[in-house]
Amino acid sequence: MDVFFTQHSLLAVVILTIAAVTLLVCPVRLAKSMAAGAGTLACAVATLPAIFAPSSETLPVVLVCTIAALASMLLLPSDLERDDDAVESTSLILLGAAGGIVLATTTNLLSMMLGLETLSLSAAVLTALGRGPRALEASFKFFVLGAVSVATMVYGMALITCATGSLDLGAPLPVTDLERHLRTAGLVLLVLGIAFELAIVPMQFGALGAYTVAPTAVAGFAMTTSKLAAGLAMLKVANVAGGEVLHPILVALGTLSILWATFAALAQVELRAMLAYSAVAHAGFLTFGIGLGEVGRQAAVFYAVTYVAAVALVFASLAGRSGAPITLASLRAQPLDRLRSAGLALGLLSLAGVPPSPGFWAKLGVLVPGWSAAGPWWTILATTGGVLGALYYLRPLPDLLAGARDAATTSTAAVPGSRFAVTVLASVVLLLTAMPFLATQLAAITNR
Amino acid sequence: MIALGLDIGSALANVDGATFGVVLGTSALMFALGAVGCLLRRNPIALLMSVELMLNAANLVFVLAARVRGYVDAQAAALIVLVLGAAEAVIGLALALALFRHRSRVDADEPREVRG
Amino acid sequence: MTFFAWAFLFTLPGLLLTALGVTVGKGKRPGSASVAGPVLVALAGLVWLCGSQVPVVVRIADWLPVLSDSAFSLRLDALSAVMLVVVGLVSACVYVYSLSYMRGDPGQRRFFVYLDFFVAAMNLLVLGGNLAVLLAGWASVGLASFLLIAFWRDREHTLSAGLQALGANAVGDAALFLAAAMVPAGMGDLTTLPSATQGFPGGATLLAWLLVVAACAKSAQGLLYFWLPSAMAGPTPVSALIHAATMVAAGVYLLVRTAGTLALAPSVLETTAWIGAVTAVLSGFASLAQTNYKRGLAYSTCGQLGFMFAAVGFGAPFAAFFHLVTHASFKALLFLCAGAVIHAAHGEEELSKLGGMRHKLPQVRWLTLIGSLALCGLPLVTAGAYSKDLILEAGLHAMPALGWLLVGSVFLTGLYAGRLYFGVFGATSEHESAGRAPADQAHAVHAPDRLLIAPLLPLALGAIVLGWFGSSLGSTLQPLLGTPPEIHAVSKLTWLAGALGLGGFLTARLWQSAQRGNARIPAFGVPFADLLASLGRAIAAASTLLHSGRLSSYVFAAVLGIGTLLLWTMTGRA
Repeated sequence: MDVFFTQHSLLAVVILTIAAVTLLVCPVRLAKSMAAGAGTLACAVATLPAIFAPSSETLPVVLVCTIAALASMLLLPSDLERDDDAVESTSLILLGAAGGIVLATTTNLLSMMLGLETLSLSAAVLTALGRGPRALEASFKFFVLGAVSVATMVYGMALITCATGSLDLGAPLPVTDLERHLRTAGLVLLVLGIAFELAIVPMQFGALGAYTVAPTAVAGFAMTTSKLAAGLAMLKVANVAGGEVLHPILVALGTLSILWATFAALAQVELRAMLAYSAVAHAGFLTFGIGLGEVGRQAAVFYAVTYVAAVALVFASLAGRSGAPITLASLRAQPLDRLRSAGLALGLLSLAGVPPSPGFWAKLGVLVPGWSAAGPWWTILATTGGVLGALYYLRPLPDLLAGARDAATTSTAAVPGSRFAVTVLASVVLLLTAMPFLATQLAAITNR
Repeated sequence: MIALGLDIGSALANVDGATFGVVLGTSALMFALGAVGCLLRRNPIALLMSVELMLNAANLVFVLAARVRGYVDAQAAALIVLVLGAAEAVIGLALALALFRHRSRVDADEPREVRG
Repeated sequence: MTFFAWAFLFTLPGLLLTALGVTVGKGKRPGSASVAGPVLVALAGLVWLCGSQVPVVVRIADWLPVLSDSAFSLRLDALSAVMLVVVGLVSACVYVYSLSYMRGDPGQRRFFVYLDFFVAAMNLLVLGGNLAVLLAGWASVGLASFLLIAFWRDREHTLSAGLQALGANAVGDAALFLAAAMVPAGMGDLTTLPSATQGFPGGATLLAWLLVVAACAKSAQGLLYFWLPSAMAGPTPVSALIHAATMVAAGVYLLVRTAGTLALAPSVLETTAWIGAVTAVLSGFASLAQTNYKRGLAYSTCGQLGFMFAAVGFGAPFAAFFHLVTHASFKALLFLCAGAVIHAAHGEEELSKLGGMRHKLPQVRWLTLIGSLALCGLPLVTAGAYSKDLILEAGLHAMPALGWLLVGSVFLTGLYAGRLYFGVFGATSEHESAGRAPADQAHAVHAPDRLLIAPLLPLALGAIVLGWFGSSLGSTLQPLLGTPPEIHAVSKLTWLAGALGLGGFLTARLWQSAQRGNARIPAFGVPFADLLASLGRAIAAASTLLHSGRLSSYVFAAVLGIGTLLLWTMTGRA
């Protein structure tokens, strides 16, 4: 049997899983901060072996674990329906991270399926732990649509196995026409399953509600981990298994996602809903980059890294501010403190792809090769969607930059670690602004 | 049934073309039925059953793959998919229960507060 | 000299200091630590111009290794050096002016931080050695413009005005983005752009179109004019710096910079000339219809930028650039004077309520007169006359019909310049004609302090003398723009244009006294921005239709998507 994944990612997955299970069965009732600390620690331990061996296999490990650590650190008990849920949430985050790592690193269809299912199930349950009936509803819809897409994906995997006689993505191409058709159909279904996790058109349903309603830290975790893991998985599928079939599909789906989500986001007045729709647009850019083939490969990874950094910054700045919808008016009435306002503004700038921010370089990296690799029309459409996005991201900016000064007291409950996380992430984003090649060197690792 | 007349090649020596086509066709039908069931059924439990049907359609293809290729791993895959279906059902039922506990009508289309 | 190519960083220390609350000088005015930045920028440009004038190129290869050619490149040559001087000097004046103008505003520090950011971005745009770096500056100035328009967030319409600017700019950003994407190896050098266009279909024409659309958005030309008048919602120093002198001229700068590429696409050039000329005429009429002082000036800016566009279209990039330089000086002067008037009148911007300022603000009155005459193009003694003549000459030579149209529109320029001038300073206010100034107003007028007046003097000087430097500017730019046309101090055309401009100016005076200061033609023009906004809203509403909250429709859409994609792929392959 083929090797599922490399030892580093396997080690990380084992550590995370053991930590998650230990937390769940722990007989002593852990305090919230203890749970968060344990989660962060587990992620740190899981990252350690990977940090010393940079490769395309360990890069996702490091990134996913970092996000998971952040999420468990920022997981605010007040976001949850019951305070006791903190332990469960932390262990679900760890499990989700393990699933994400598996999804991103394996080329075995079965492992990929298990990784994706672990990730999406833990995201669904995490969403359900949020406050009020809306959380349950969003979680149920997310779950049903996730189940449908996983079933689709599994059917696709079965077709591929039938056609190639192997559960490995990289199996040699079959000989007969029938087998090749089966494999193509299977690949399309597989891609659609991953598309749900990426939340791109036409599989964006369900995810939007979950991203909007879930507790802040959870939404940030789901939006970043699932995008990163599914994006890397998509990259792998397209590169290993059949670019010539999938690349045009990915470009089309990516462009449609960008356009649709940009216009839909223009109609949103609530910041979280806007971020949810924008997540679709960003996944669209990622998919577009993947669809460009070899020239877009590094650009896509670079895009994913900058996106993750910006979203993490945005959600770290918003940590603890859930329940009431966040609108322009509520940001005016209860401004964030100075650090968080700046962090949020910087994150939004990067999401908007406006310089000076790494998001600008990332969009440039994806769109510039697009003209020759995907054709002018797709690039024109994608670019249009990309720049119009600025209209909704930047709307809160004047208030964020101005309002913070007036804030005599911080309206947000003090979240331990939040200020630290915002500072670190903001530094990362600023560093990537001035030196984008740092992240692209990271992306270059994936070529090894 | 389309596949009936096709030459399925030397690799599929363990099974004749007609059987291959019938099994594949059945699985496709099951998958389509499951998908339609997801569309039409409003009851959350029926919804989950439809998803199971889709998963079982995949299982049929996995078993077919194991048979035609002599590839045992595919059977293992089918077993794992069964477990996965069970896990999904557990979580799905739990969520459905939590969501519809306080509602008079058990209709998956009923809660419409979250538009996304 | 390499150091000067990094001039866009010069305002960043000031930005940091001001953000941290450091002040310089006795007054402890917030923002005073920033003033040195733009002065240094101007000095960098001047030193380069006075030196050997060898182009400085900075290249950091592998800036963005995901692209095949991805250098971060800066280029300091004659064009960028002149732009550095213009941007540096105008912003230095605006900084000093703002120290007084914004005093007491709770956001004064933030204002200067934004200004510093703007100047840095503008200089990045100017110094960019390839399309990608230029685009980074291009989009950054758009952001700065948005933040500064929406600066007074408590006032009505400022946010929507900012968003209008952002939306129009987005069109330009998209066009420039695509231009960078279509040039093979997107970060290709600006100087090799014409040869880079040879290799691909559509070639120079497509690239030229993209550049012109980008420039139209930034310079408020053609259908994309609408954001500039709305942008007047921002503080007046901002209107002077960004929305009159520098940022809106960036479109013209781009076209001048890429003149070599445009020259390969004659059809695009012709269209550009038409866009510019039509904008110049229509915005002249629009200015006559304004009741708001600043909006009247904003339309005038649209019109003057139209002259520059037309010049580019006529194949006379030097004339366009020369007019850019002189216009920066006299339009910044006009706006800063307008700011002094508005400041004195406690923020009143309506023409009908201003008026009779002649006696209250005598210095400002004379300075405004200088600016207005430069705008009309008074021959010999104002800078505007020299640069405008070059444009008209090129027009009559290249496209006579449009050339004559522009000559005619000089009268219009004089008319609206006069209308604004006499409307504000003339003795035609009803109170004054009754022989007495209203007591409340007379008491209320703020006397402008020295900091408010001093920065106007260099600008006024520029509005007078800059025209005499035309030929030296021409020889400086010769390596980039070719041999400049001969600049006549006096020609028949000069006298004709001068007479038309002055005639318009004086006609406005007569018209004003006949109409008692309330003369204006009825407003016209389509509410283009509203149209676009409602279109956007409609599409946005349609996009979210599917998201009704019904689970079954979600599943339906997803299954439909799966089926369609499967069918598409399988039939496409079969």
